[in-house]
Amino acid sequence: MALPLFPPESDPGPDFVGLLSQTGTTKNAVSSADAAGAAATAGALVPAPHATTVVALRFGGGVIMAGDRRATMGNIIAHRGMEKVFPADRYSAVAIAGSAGMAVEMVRLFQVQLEHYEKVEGTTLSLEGKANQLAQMVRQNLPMAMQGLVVVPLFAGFDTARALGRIFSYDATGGHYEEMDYQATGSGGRDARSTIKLGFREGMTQDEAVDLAIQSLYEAADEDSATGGPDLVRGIYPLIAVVDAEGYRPVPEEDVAARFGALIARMQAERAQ
Amino acid sequence: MRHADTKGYAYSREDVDARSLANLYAQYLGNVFTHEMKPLEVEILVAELGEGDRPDQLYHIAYEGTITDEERFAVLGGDAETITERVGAAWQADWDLANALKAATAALAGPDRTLAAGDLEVATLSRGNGRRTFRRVADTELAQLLA
Repeated sequence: MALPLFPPESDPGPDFVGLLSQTGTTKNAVSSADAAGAAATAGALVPAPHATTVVALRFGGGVIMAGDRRATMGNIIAHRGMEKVFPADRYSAVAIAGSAGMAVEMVRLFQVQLEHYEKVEGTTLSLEGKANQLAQMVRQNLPMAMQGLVVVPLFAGFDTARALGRIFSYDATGGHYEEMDYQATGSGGRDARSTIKLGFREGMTQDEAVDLAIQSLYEAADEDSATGGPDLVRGIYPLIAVVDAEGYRPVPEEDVAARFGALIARMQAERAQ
Repeated sequence: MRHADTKGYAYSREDVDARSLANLYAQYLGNVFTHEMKPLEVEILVAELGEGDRPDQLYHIAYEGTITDEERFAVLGGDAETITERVGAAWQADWDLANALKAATAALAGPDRTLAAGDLEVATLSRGNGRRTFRRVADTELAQLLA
């Protein structure tokens, strides 16, 4: 590799996707038109892993993002330990539902894009700027989405300028909408959303919000076969992340396990009555 | 930056290393120095945190493309020699961020003036930072550290 240098008129600036296309490294970029063509020929019948339920909700200090760990391929469980919640940068997180391969690649590109912007410009994008950037990537995936390889992310972060947590949801065409309090996407999204809707209060503490996220995923797994519940045998639990003024941090797995244990014990006690 | 990000995206973030980046810079600067009318009047410092057995690295690349592997610290730019002497006199192996920053600021300012937080651009590389080791030390935090 040589140093990527450009004359002023074709300088890609802070645009990492533009840089990739100019240096000819687009072989695995999301925007690849060849890949869309190939998918069209294959007739969208390629069996590919599918990632399912992710949720995001606001609490007093920021946002919580959580996702189950199951990836399915038709009626088969493709992967039991898939991670669907990622740090986008220090103050934001992105969670994915949809075609796993496309989605994970999109997240990778998004992470590098945010970081690249910060390196080139010397300042970070605003939270809304990041949300728009992700919308462009989802829109670039539209040809693939038409072939059935849909990616529907959920984006949430702590807006440092306004000191509050914000959530953005997306559709397959790149439309993005800011959510008031919570949102869930993926096959179990509806059940998870109903659970959060019933339990949500303004200004919850972080602990309360994490418990609500856990309950919503439990209910989603209860109703939706493509959503994985807690796997007590293998010790695989949903991934939960907190984004607040301190930045992104995952909730430790032991903590998630203990909370699931408490939830299950409570439900057993209720049934025994 | 572009090279590092492209490489990190195409392969893995682990595959990005300071040595190859420093070599690229050196090659480019050396090439401009020998073939162009005017050399590029820049000096570049590439810093890397070592992981496992690999030590931390500071590569200092001069305008004609020579690389110096710095052991303890590096000073670039105008009046570098005097500032190097000042930093060398104050340098300690085990100082913390606040002390290092105060000493570096004093060395940069010299005996005749003081530099405030607004006059400085500060960033750190730290192993405890998670995915990205680079972090800018912003205004309020910087003022606290200097106080």
